Amino acid sequence: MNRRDFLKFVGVASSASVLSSCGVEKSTEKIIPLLYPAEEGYIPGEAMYKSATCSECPAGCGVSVKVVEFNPVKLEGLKNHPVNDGALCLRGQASLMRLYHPRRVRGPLRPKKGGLVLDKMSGDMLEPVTWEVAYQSITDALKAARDAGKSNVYLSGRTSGSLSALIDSFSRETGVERLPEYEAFSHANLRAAYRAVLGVSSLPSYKVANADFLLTVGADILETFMNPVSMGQQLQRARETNNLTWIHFEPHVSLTGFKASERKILPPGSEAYLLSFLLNYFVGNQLAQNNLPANVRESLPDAPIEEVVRQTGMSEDELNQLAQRMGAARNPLLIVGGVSTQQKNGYETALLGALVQWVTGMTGSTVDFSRAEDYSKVGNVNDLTAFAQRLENEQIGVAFVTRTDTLFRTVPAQTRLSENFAKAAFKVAFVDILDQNDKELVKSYSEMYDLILPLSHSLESWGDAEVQNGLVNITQPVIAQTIFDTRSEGDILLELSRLYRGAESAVAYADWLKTRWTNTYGEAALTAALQTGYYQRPAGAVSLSLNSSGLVNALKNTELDSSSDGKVLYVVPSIRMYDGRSKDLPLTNEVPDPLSTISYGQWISVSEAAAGELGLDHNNLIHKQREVVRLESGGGAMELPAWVQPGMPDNIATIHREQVDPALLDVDPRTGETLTRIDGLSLSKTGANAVLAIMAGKVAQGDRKIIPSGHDDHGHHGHIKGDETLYPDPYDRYTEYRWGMSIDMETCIGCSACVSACYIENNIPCVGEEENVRGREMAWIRVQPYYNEEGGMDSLIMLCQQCDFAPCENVCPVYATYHNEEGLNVMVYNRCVGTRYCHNNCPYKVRRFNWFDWTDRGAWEEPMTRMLNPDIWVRPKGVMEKCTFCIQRIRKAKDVAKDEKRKVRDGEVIPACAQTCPTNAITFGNLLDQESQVFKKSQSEREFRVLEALGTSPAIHYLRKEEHA
Amino acid sequence: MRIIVPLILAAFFVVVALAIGGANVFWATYEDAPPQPVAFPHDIHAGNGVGQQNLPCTRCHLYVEESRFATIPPMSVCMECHGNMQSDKPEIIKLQQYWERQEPIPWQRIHSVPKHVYFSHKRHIKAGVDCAVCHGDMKVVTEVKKVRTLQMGFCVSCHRANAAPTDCWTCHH
Repeated sequence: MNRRDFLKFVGVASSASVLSSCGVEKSTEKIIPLLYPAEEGYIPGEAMYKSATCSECPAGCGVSVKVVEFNPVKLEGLKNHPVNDGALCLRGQASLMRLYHPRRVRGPLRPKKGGLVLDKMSGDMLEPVTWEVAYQSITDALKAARDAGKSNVYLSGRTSGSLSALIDSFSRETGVERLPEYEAFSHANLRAAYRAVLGVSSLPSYKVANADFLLTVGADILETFMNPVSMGQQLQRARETNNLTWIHFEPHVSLTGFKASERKILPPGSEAYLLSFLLNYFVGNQLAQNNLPANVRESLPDAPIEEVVRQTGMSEDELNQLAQRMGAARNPLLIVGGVSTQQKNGYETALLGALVQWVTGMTGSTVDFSRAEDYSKVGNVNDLTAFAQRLENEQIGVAFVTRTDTLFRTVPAQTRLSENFAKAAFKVAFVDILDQNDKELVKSYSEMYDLILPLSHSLESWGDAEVQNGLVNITQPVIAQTIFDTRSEGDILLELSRLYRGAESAVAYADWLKTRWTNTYGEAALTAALQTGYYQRPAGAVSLSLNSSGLVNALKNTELDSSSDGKVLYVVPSIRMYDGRSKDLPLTNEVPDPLSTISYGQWISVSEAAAGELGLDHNNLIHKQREVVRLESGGGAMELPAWVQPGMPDNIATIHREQVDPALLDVDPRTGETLTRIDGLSLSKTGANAVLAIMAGKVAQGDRKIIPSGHDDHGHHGHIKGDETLYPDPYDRYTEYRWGMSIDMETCIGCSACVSACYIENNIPCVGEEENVRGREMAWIRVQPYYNEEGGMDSLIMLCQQCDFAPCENVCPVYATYHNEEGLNVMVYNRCVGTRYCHNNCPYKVRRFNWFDWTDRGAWEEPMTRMLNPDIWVRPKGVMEKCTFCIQRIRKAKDVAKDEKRKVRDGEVIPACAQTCPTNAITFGNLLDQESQVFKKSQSEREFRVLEALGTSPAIHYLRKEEHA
Repeated sequence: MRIIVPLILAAFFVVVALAIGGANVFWATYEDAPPQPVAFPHDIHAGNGVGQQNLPCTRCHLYVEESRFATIPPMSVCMECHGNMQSDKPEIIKLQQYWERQEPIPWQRIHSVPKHVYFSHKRHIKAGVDCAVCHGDMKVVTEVKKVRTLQMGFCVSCHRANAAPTDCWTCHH
């Protein structure tokens, strides 16, 4: 036999054996049936929607939980909810991860003290204890403290509704003192101002929707201030119906600022002068609707026009114009807050703001106290200082800390709370997530606490929240059993109280609540509220009056001047992390910051001038490397990589609140407000470099003409159209549907909620810092900021453009990506062999390649697999993936339409990104239907398509920003 | 050398023969009905012969007309009849014991499609496809086994024959 024959034989025999075993897939899978049919309305594989409340920040957005096969898989805003009407922010979308977080505390823990030498070598540890032992140790400690004459205290984050009532009754029954609540964003100055001016202790609802002129000073209304989702929605409504003009003043740079119709920069501290000018204007020109009594007018801080001009850097004409515009408006609204009220003269700024609101009559219209947010139990940093003093004097027995910053990492160091906290006799933390692999964290907890109790997630427990005056969100558990051995705060308190009193029968919090609800709302209203997810009373009329005597007192010790000659650091709230509480969620870390596109890590944003002054040279560094600078101020120092932020005023730098060393934070002793403006900043170059996970290659368009500007006069809206083509009209191929989208850049606020929603809807993995640095992020949709020379910024929402002539399609060697009859650029994942040609050929960089099997890499560590959307596959290693307009939702809508023997209606398919958008910037629909919203928008004067000159003919029609005079 | 080459060849063919044999045995057992924890006879329930109940499929597979999944019936559906029925048949006693323990029967899955495939029972039933097309005639089988490959070729040939959509994303996601 020769070599050739040998090979032939071997070849034939081998292929025969391979072929014969083809198609065999041995299945040993089990099917476990239910014991009983599930509840009414349950259909296997179909989604059920249940109402809940978002607990990621105090705004209290209503949430509709999509439950498939008994597992919550997606959160959406609750339609018609008075706060958020269907929309949700990026943190709200990500908050589902809190329920399934693999690092959730799985049962009560306590520090392991003493013991074997071996234990000491392995460092501090937390050991599990049973609930019985935990409860017993607390009741023992409560009694011991009582006998020793010490106070037992309860410190929580902002609490409302029934839980607040329960804490009160628990405190009474067990002799525990309820401390003022701690919120990092406590709005202490704002509240103090409203107390001084109007004698109220709550914060109003700002009715942006009713305004035709909006002036915001420092308040980051689109990021964290009060209820940003609601603000975004209301802005949109006001723009549509009232032709709103929005002017934003800020000393630094923020997303909110870029999204205002006009962004104006004020020197630090000069906000008070601007407001003082406005106040004088309205009082002096007899334009006031509510007059100020003489004694108040006399005690107003003196701000002559020359001083206002000097401080604000605005000319007298500009100032007068601004005041005139505001005076001419039918429904003006002024919102003062954020960084402007968190500085040395922040109290004065807030006071003057409240006075302007009173004088112009806003307090009766757009500044609505009938739907006020109750902050009466929320304290301020002074309360923590007092608490720390009591701790130092060893007056505290048991200290409960719950639903707040349990390690006091946002609390200014000068309160000396963290260092004294261990002096309480027995410390109990109520915690949901605690990474026990993080040695530092475990050490902090074991040093600070004697017991850690695991809290159930709000989706696992009954509860309510009084979001605004007369608006109560009702939450029912959407999951039958808690995932881990956790309990709700209500259940813990009821049980503790029972044990303390030695009472017999235990009451479950659910029953306690139902009794309370029935008594408060009545049977019928309760049933309705359980259906809708909230209960709303009509707003009662509120009569406000000027608190003259208190105001005169408050005005006595005011000092308007707080200017600074040197560099100033602003500690700003983060749209991704709020005050740091959302940092535990993988997704909030993965979604990039919309201004810098940085996802992971810490950084300081500096101006280009400051970078030049420091001699930072990023041009010679490779793409994602940045130079590390050292920042110093009276209190402390930090070393951070520097990001050059376009639009940043020269002497200003910013850092996010959750990233700052609390030693740098100061406190206003008058009101207990945390001062987030840090003066006397000195920056120096360290010479070291660090790598930052920056998503964007460039944040300027250069000559690329991605977004056309209205000023260009050549071509269609200054944009180059694709050349005429010899190919047949793509629309000939489409018969029933051509799915398309329009994205309005005028209304888009760049909040990145769409990005977050897309991750959850489409089972997109969070890949972590290292892979983000390598540019292997998996986001199907991204927010790309482009800064222009006029000082503005456009957020371009970039996702698969579903091109008619898609460059990706014709390079696929295996027909894994193809164009279907509905215009979609479909991706057949199981057919993809991973050549990545399509990715190379895509001019929009919207295709993502699975370099790894992310399930194996822990992207969905148990129990996170339970949040995977069963309507879409989890793509394995070596497969390309991308946006297909939430094809599973199109399929669902077509399924329903087919049942009813009709076509899919306009608005029936809403992709996850469009669904969660607070400003309805994204419209989706059928471009063949000339009555559809998306078709109408695609015919707009402002319409353009990205990189149209390439002839790709995308299905996403962007609407460029309107030209402002 | 003259002996070594045939030896290697012989050894190779032995290995190949074993592999083919093994695969065949495996395939044969695969095609066999896997042992179920309770030997449920479909013919007695669904058949229309003497002593058979002639129940429609939807009597037990409750969701097949409105859901993607036909689903194995909840145990309470079995007990609607078997709850009041005294029997000395060992399999019925087994069922009743499971019920008394309030323990679901861990059935062995027989029909499945890969995770990247979307299949809706509802759509097929509404289009008038008979259950037997994919599952075989359940009126005559005692033990359920897979009678169709349920692979893509099987699906597509039927889709083509009936002018059903063959766009990839109809089934793939």
